[in-house]
Amino acid sequence: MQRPADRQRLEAMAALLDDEGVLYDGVAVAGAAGDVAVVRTRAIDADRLAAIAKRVKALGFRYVTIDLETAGAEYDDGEGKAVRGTRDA
Amino acid sequence: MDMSGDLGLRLARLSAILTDAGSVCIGYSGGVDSALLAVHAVKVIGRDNVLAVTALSESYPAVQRAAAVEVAARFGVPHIEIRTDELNDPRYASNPTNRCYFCKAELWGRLAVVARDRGIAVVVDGTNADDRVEHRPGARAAREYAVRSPLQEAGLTKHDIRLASKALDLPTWDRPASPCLASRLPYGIAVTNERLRQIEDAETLVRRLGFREFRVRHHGDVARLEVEPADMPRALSMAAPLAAGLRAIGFAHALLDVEGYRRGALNESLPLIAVSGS
Repeated sequence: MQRPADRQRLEAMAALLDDEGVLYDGVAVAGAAGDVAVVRTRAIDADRLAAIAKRVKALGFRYVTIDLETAGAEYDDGEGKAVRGTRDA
Repeated sequence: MDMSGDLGLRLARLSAILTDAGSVCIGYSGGVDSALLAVHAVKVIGRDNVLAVTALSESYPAVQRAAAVEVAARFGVPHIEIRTDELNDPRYASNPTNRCYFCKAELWGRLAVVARDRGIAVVVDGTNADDRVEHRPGARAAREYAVRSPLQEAGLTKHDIRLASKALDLPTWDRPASPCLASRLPYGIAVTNERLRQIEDAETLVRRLGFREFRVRHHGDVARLEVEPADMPRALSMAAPLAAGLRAIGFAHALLDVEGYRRGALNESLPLIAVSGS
């Protein structure tokens, strides 16, 4: 269950990702200790995420991760065409 | 390889330490460090004065056992295996920050008996000169059992050990470090056989997909994969098989750490644990 503190951290993380122009579909908190930040993204944006990992961790996380379930997944490009992994291409 | 420089001096110091000891019982995991120590010891003081002992337990990876057996057989190192049972020690299984102390205390206690029964003078381990700077609660247990660290005493670093291993044609010379499987569990998450098997299965899966230097960290229902930064694009290109494989092993979530593999990553939590007292 999401704790209020998690919600605040997630909102702050989403705002940070927006500011940095990182493409993502959602954010989450994971891990038994609630110390893992999860970015759900179909775009392959690991470099940019790594560059801001310290700032995400400063929000109260120990680890910053990409959800492998959604990374590089196919999505509809808006014109009915399935595209894999590079939403910003 | 030219061993006449500083490395040669350090290896000569190692030889002198082993000669002075006379006979050694080596805590032998088959990793880079203990493999070199065992093979070098056989060269210097002879196989009749060396016994390599591998402790088998749930936290010891099968792939590591195979490496230990391979090196011992190929280089004529006398080798035995014993069984340790650290999982049944609640002080270990509760996974405190000094977990390694309880494991090593059992290990060195058992090796002290093996050495005494066989008339071996000194119990030694593969700790090297780089290990001084790391969080190593197991070192306290080694001190309590008078275990010596010849590689460290000789000033041999991990880099030195890899170079010397290569010169001896040891297959371990470029193998990644392989600490026990419990090191993939954050402190405070209980060490159980089920979790250790999940970790071992997960790392077998990742290895089979062609990755070499990596860790699967176990965060309850989450697997957090650390790969070398250079391998990040490949990991992302394999996201689907990785996620499916990790899910089949029992993880609800498969995550890729954006900072990549770093040794001792779970020790990054130590200050916070100390403050919270948990």
